[in-house]
Amino acid sequence: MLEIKNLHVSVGGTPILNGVDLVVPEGEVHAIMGPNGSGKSTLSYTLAGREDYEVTAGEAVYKGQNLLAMNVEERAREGVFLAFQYPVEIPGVSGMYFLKAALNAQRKQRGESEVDAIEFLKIARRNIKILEMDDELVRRSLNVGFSGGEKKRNEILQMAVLEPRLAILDETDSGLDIDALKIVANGVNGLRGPDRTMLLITHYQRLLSYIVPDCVHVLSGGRIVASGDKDLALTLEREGYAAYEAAAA
Amino acid sequence: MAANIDSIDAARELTRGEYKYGFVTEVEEDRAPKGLDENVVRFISAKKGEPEWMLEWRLRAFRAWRERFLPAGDPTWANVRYPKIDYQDSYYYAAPKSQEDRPQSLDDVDPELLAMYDKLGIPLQERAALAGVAVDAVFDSVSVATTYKGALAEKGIIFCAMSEAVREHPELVRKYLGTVVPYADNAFATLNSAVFSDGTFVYVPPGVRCPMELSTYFRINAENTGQFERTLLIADKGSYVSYLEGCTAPMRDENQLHAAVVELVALDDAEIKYSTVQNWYPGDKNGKGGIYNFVTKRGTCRGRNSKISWTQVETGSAITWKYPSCILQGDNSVGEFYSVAVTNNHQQADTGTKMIHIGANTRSTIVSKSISAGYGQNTYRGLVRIQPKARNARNHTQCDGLLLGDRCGAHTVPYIEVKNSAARVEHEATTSKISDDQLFYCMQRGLSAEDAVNLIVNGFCKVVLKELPMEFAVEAQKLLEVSLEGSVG
Amino acid sequence: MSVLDTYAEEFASAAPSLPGAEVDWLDAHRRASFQAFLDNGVPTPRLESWKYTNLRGLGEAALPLAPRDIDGIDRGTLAPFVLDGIDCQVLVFVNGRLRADLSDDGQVSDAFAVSLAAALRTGHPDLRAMIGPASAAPEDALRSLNSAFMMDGAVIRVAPDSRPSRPLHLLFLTVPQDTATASYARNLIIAGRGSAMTIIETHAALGHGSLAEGSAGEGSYWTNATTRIVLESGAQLRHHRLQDDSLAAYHLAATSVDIAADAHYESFAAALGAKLSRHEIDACLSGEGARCDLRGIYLGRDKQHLDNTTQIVHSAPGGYSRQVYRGVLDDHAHAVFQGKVVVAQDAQRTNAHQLNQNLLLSESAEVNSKPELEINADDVKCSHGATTGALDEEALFYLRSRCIGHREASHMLTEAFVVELVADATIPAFGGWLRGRLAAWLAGAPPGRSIP
Repeated sequence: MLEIKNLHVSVGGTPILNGVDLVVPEGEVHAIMGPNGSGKSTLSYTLAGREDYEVTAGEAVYKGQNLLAMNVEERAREGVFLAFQYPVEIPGVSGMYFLKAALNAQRKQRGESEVDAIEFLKIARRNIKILEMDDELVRRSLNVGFSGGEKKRNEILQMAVLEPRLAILDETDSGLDIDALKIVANGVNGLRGPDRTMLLITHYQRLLSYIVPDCVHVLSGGRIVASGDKDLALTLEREGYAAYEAAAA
Repeated sequence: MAANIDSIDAARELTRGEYKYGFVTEVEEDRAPKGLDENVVRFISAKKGEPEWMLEWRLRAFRAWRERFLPAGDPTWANVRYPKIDYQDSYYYAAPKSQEDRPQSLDDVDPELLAMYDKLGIPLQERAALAGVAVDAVFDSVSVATTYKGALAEKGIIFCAMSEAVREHPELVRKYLGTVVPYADNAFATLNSAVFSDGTFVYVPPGVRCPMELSTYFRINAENTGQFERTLLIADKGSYVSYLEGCTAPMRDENQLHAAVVELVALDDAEIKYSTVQNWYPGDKNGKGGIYNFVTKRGTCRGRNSKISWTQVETGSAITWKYPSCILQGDNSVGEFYSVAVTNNHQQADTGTKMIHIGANTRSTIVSKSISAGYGQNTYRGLVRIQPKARNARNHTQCDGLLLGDRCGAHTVPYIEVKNSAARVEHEATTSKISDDQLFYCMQRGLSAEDAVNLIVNGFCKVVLKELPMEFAVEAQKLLEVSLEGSVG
Repeated sequence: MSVLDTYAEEFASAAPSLPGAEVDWLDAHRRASFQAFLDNGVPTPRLESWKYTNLRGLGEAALPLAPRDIDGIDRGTLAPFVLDGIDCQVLVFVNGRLRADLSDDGQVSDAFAVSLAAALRTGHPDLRAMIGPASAAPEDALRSLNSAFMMDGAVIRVAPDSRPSRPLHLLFLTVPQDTATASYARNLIIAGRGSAMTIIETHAALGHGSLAEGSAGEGSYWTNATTRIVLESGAQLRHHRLQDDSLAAYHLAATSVDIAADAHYESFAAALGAKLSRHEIDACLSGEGARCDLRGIYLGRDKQHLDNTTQIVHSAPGGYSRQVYRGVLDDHAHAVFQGKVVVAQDAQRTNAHQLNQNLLLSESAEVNSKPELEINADDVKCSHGATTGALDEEALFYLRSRCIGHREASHMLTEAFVVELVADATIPAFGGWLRGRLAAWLAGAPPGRSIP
């Protein structure tokens, strides 16, 4: 599903990713863990197609296609979804309206029929319930005045409605208390399936107790320095990243 | 920088929305001789069959214009540049020849004219039947048809052409005309007072709530004929009226001057809602042609507890110079100004409002959203003046500017003059571009760059757009999109 | 004889004895500047930037230059005018002219300051560059007049990379005469590359009062002061300016600053005295990453007219500017704030913010506020805000419900309004002094007096 080979990425002239190799088979959930500054967010932005992230070498193949050759919306329509660490506010645009516009933009591009307001409401409501969100929240301007937890849940709501093939969750657990975390994890787990691949970017092991990954990778110094099963996360929890930081140096 | 250069370039290459209303109707006209002198003023007055007092008023204005304003030249303090206007190089009156007598019903209207309105998407019959909106369609300088006069007449509401009001309701016109915008108020208002061709007159009697939105469509047709409409709207005690003004104009090479005057009077406990969607021809991509829109709009909240609110969406005109204002005389009166102004290509706008607080406990709200793209120059100019007796006056102003592109300008010039300590005035302004983060977020969800910009711009203008009556809000959103096409990047 | 004729007469008689009269370029400059003034005349409200400030009170005739020789001033006399608790290098100007006998040595570690008069007499070409050409703009008429008549002031050069530990205090003291006089001071300051310095500039009058008490001289006079500052790259300059002139005086001043890349200009300007005071600040952020902080307070009562007019131009990218001005007005005082921010087309990534807040304590106090933004670049974050109002009723009620009397409660809230800004923006000694002045002002002491 996703194959990254020797990926080098620079931001503002500074190299951040220094040869990332990663293979994520379809339907699996992989976690990327690493110390601060290791390049985790850079990886997610690069996969999503953000302009300031310059790929200086390497490749990323997604569903057999050259991911890096596609622009942002193209990747989105091909099913790439990034749940942002810091979701941005868009005043005056309601969450519902935004999501419907996004869903229909994607459907239209794929040659599918657009959903009307009523149909959309049904889809949205179903997922709002699962995520235990307040209906009223999505009628307000997108993310304006939302708490951290509300923003993250809203990201997962969008994910549920847009049904991506590759979901990258960038530090979805940051800023969440246990209760919010459980709800978000529940929502994410509900979206796991054979044709959905997920990359969980996280610093702490905590999230991975709720969303159990198939594989855990350690990103340090801009490279994957270790891979293992879910127990690797527990090891990191106990011992920290020091050993891997040394390895990356 | 936008999130993706390629898609932006592609969007740039898209044809900028060709002005879809651009076409000219070939109709015979009855024109005054070119230029402006006392004889032309008399010609206009005679053509309209006006009484002596009306002619006298026009002549006083004309003399003031000739003696004071013409020698001084157009005012230069606004942030707009245009070639000097040769006032003698225009026709000041043009009426379709087939309209020697007023049409009694739509059957009397020149079929060519009706066809024109169909093209514009305002089929009078359909609108009248389905939407229940009475339309006073002004074709150049003479009102062509007015519908629903009957239904309104039952309630005692007068909604007719200005020329008709002068003849049929002289006592009302004499009482209020020029009391909000005196005939020598400023250069363009004075010119208008001398040569105004037509416009709308509305009077709502005490206690009456006007059952439908009243609206007017305009067009400028004849070459070199500027349009000088005069509108006077009076809401008597305890009444309510909502008025919509929307305009379109054909493509022309010469600049055309539009110097309208709108006067609103709200008496005790009355409310007037005045909405405008302005779509005059803005000039081509290179800044050639386009309408000059130099309008004087003012409302007086004469009575206690009265309210006037102005809502405007201005996307057209080569140059816009207008400050819909409120004089808050009556205690507890309220003035509101909601505006979206777009300048793209080489458009220039210097627009804003004046809120003058005279009475006690008066309140004013100003929300101005300006959007600049291309080489557009957009200036918000506002005045909030609190007079010494305006105890407990309150004003809140929010002006925000959005820049789409790095060759345009957004400027804010607020004047805040406070002479009463118990008043509270708050003014905030911000100017920025659409953030890369916002664009990236939208595009990551599958929206194209152009769609993302439209979405964000709509969100930016939301608070103003929701003040518009429903059908106008939809037209306004479409207008916004068309006017910003090709500006992404 | 017209007003301008009287100026011409005054200039003709003063010119031969102005410093540097024998230096050709200087003499030519003075004459060209004077001509520029004559061409435009004293600014009137017809000029947009003078819309709210009327100078007709300046009178029908030009004022003669203030006399040079003043006896009876010694270091002791000055004591009340210098700041406590801080060791500054002080340069004293009386009636616009340097008094070497009352001043400290002009060397402040790696900065040195000389009298402008002395510098002008040498006719050094560097000075010519610093002073710049005559300006024909009508808004600059008073600056042109200053160029024509400039008598003295300080020329300060801070050596590159130096960080003098002692601030330099320029004390301009006017001794009012029986009839009104004028003084024209000009300061030129160059902060060298990477240097850091604090300069304090105060304007006061000798009479009944002191710096602590403020000037209360009845004498009328006109201070026309211009300061031109250049910050070279990476330089930091902190400029505390205090206008504490007599309540019969006219204080018309202009400070213009050029800020190069990564340099930082921080100004705090307090306007307390004068019958009519106008301080114009023109700052140009001409290098990438330049920073400018302009803050100020103004306290007005009786019929004072206090005008702060600023213009910040961002002509290079990555600049940062912030302006915060707070005013308190009582009686029939009138304040004007005009703050303009201009962002040029290539000044991307500019961050510019401006705030003007006014507290009106009486029914007849008046304020005109005009914060202006002119923005021609798009990748910017700019904002401005202006508020005017009286004391918050809720806050007053709260204090009173805790047994604090109305008067004291009003004072507390007013003080809080001003002190917050002062504490943030000034060095402790200066800030402390200002707090004292504020307390006296609030207590209703006749302007300029403190409570014993």
